[in-house]
Amino acid sequence: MDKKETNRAKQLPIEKEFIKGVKLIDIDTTIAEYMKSVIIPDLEENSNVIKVPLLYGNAERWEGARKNGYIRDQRGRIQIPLVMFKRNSIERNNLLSNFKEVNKIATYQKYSKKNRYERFSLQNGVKPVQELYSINVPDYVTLTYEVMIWTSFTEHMNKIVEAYQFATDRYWGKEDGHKFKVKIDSFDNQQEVGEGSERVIRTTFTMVVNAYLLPETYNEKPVVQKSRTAKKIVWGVETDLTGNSFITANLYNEYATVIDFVAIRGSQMAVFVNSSTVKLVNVKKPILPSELIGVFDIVNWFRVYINGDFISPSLYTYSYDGSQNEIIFSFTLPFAIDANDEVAITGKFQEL
Amino acid sequence: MNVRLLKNIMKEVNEPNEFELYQDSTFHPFYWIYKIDNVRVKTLYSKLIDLRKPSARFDVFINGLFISENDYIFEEIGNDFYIKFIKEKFPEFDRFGNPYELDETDEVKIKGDVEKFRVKE
Repeated sequence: MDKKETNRAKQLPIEKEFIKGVKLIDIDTTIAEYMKSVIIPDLEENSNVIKVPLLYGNAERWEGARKNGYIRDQRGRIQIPLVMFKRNSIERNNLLSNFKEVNKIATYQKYSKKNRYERFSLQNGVKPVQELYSINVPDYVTLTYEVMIWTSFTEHMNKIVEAYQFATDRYWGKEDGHKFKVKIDSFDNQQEVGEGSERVIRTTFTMVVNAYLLPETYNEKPVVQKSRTAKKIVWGVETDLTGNSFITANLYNEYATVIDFVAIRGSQMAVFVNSSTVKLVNVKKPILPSELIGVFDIVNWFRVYINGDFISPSLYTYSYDGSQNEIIFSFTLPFAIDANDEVAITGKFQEL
Repeated sequence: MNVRLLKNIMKEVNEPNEFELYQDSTFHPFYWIYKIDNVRVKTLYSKLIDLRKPSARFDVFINGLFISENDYIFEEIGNDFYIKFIKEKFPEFDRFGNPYELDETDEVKIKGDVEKFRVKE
């Protein structure tokens, strides 16, 4: 299996944005950005607009939040309001398994830089080039994220939860970026008011994200391959008198007349005509190709044996009747040929 | 098709070989059997099969006399090439009036698209 593409003609430059693949970080980022820019609403407290921060729950943060029920900032203040999320698991989606090795997803881009200087209205039969991309089938996965929300007031929490609830079963992502379907089943609400501590409203829920992963390269080959459509198809005019040109062009076809001539050989018992004449029936005498004139020994075109004895070519003449497919041999022998004599002839004739 | 194949075709149809066979069995009731070891009929490029019928691949001679294809059958058994002359196709008596017989003194040759091959031990 060839690992590297060696055909330079097929090595087209691909813009980086098309070959970066889809990685786990892309899924995390997409989900986070969507939450930040679309879902999480701004809250109002004492006529002030508060931006709700979003944090990725790394192990330390998450563990702290679990243990204490909240997280504190660097100055020791409880961070409220806050949304924190983390990825819990990645599971293969069996329902969408596919023949990844053989299938490709085909797509194309109508715009191509190649068309920039073309004036198609003035050019005959020239079509704009389209850029074709064939992409490997990605690996479909189901990711689960756990999200924790902290607010000081139930009103704030309601607003955030409502926003999440409305966003469930939607495709999260940018218009021109990756999009993943997100599903939220239930929200778990808790209110904590401890003695000497701050009032904390906390909601936890799990998001199930249907996503896909695609590496940039696999087996040293890019998973996205680019090609271009033909700008113009030109039909040449070619006249074939032999009818063989449409068979795959090869050396045999090129030299077929010579090779066929060399290959032709017949061996047949002649039919008695009279005491000085015999004939070969149902045969064809080939034409000597011009390339072999002067090379081929035409004197020994045939070898004639009467009762096993070789007869010199000087003792006979022959003529070919193409309409009857017969070659007639006339002998000038010192003896008469008998009907019982075996006249065997070999040489350049084709047995039909 | 490359030049090598072209060369092979020429080898198949334009390089006849000649081999002498030795008697294998005189006691067969219907045949005089001659054989030669490690000889076979050459392969033939598929497109040329119609141009050279099996009967025209090689000629058989006994003591220099051409033998008609009707008078013998040939077989390739294992690595051996056999020519079986059909006794009833030959005259009953020779020119001296003796019963016609082929023996080890007769020179049986084949000439044409046949080749010797090497057998790996």
